[in-house]
Amino acid sequence: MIDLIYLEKSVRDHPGTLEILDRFPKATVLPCSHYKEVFNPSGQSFRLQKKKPSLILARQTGKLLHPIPRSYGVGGERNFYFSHLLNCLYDCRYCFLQGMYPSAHYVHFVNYEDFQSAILRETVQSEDPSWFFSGYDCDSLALESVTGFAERFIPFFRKNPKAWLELRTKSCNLGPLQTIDPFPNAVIAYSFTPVEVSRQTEWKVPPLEARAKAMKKAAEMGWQVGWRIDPVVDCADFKDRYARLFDSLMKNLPLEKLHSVSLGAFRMPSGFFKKMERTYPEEPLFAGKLQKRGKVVAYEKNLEQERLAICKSLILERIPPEKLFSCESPVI
Amino acid sequence: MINLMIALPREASPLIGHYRLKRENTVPHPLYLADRIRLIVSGIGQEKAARTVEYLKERFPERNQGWLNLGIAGHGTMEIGRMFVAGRILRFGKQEVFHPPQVYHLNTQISELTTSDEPVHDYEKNMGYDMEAHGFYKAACEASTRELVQVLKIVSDNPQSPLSDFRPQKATRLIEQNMERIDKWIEAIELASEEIKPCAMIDQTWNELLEQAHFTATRSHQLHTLLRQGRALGVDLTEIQELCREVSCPKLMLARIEEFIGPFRSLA
Repeated sequence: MIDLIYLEKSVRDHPGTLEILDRFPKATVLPCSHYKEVFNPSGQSFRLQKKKPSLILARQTGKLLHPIPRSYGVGGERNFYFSHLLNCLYDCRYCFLQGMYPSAHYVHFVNYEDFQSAILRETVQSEDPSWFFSGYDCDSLALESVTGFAERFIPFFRKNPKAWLELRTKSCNLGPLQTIDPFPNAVIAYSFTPVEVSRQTEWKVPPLEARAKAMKKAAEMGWQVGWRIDPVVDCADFKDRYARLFDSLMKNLPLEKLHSVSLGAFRMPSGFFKKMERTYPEEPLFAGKLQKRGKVVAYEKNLEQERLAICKSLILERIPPEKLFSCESPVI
Repeated sequence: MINLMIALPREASPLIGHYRLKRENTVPHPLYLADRIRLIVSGIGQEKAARTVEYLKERFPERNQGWLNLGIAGHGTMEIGRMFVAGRILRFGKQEVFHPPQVYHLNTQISELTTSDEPVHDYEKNMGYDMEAHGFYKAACEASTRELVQVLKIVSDNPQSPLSDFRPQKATRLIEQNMERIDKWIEAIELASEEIKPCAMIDQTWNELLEQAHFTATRSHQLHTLLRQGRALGVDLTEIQELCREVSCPKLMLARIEEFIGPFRSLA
């Protein structure tokens, strides 16, 4: 899967690096002085790189945790995200990563010990629980075979009950969840769109049915799970498709294991959107009923409200209201 | 379209034969052409390489064409005749480093490559040596996205068989021996270049409609956006042209197109 690894000189001898290099003995390893030397140059094609991304091993320095607005949380007051990995194995056409980064290479920050220290420092700042979201700039589990992220962080959070972890994923990989007993301060959150939307926009992603099955299996094992209905995508036959989606997710799911459902319409910083449109000019999703509102491109206001209201009502027919969270977009 | 930049006539001759390229009598650089390939002989050295690329960029300014520097090189580890692609290009005495993104599934060995102004006799392990790649890459990646700019080298000398033993006529044979693999590279780069090329039909329709009325810059841009969106939504652009036949008011034309494609805007 990985046949070219760029190695930042600062992590040449890091144990995490050596472990990964052991896993890919046939890969060519090229040195770089800093990951940005490979990742940042202008004039790269995200689209072409997505066909065969390389792996960059690097050290994340500076600020390791980033605050996120309360409206993006799932019940916590103190919310942070952190990124052990930039970019994703999957290729979802609505994803902001393709508008945000100049390159589709995977940048893996191997200095887990620094992330864990930062999480501990932040956790002791307050008596309230602190939430840490790991799946913003990547899928939390999809590249587990490369990063060993969950294997290292799940036991870490288990030992720190005031620190809550959200693993957000479209992966069916349950491996790292099977090696440890479930604990309350972790939520395995699965992102979903209706099967018809998924087939048109979520490339390289496991089929919806397989992901729903993995989510239920995780719940049966005792893990708290979440649904992330974000982005909500305007489509034909909207109400029926979303109703069928929620029915399929509910079927055989022990409701007490459903921690939260979050809901947010498709929205994108306009700079990212412009780049995405340039990268995939033939993409029907980008020719939807969208408008620029402030610094964001989103569905036309009325349409957005209508679509969110339909989803909200469908969800509330199935789950108690305290489990539903709306990701309000910061648009006018 | 792909541009091949070769330093020596001896390296170029097998390619000229294989692709049946016809020479154009241009100065200062010998240029050989066919339908989908241009080959230019630069001479030795990175300054000449850069100048040659600049010449092609000026004569054929279309963005995102393929660019391939092909030739022989020394190598500290690889055996004679082995072809490799440069994954990291350095230059003796300079900080600037390039990392051509490796996006092609072609099973070619990847290596570092140092471009030098003088022939190199001390070989470092795992390092290739040439005299053009850095100048070539720097100039070419201003004209195309970096994935379309690649450097392929075939090992002509190494510590066991140093440069002093090399006979120039061997260059032709080394290229010939790798022709099949070179051909796959050319094909892959061309396909990638095609994939990101703007749709010609949109531009053609746009130009034709622009001739029908006097568009401001803003409305002209809006027209292009609507045509692109229409095509993305699966609308036949000839239907749009038909719809706009004899419409000479830009505002009305835009409104008609919007009305026509509106019902298709929800994802299928």
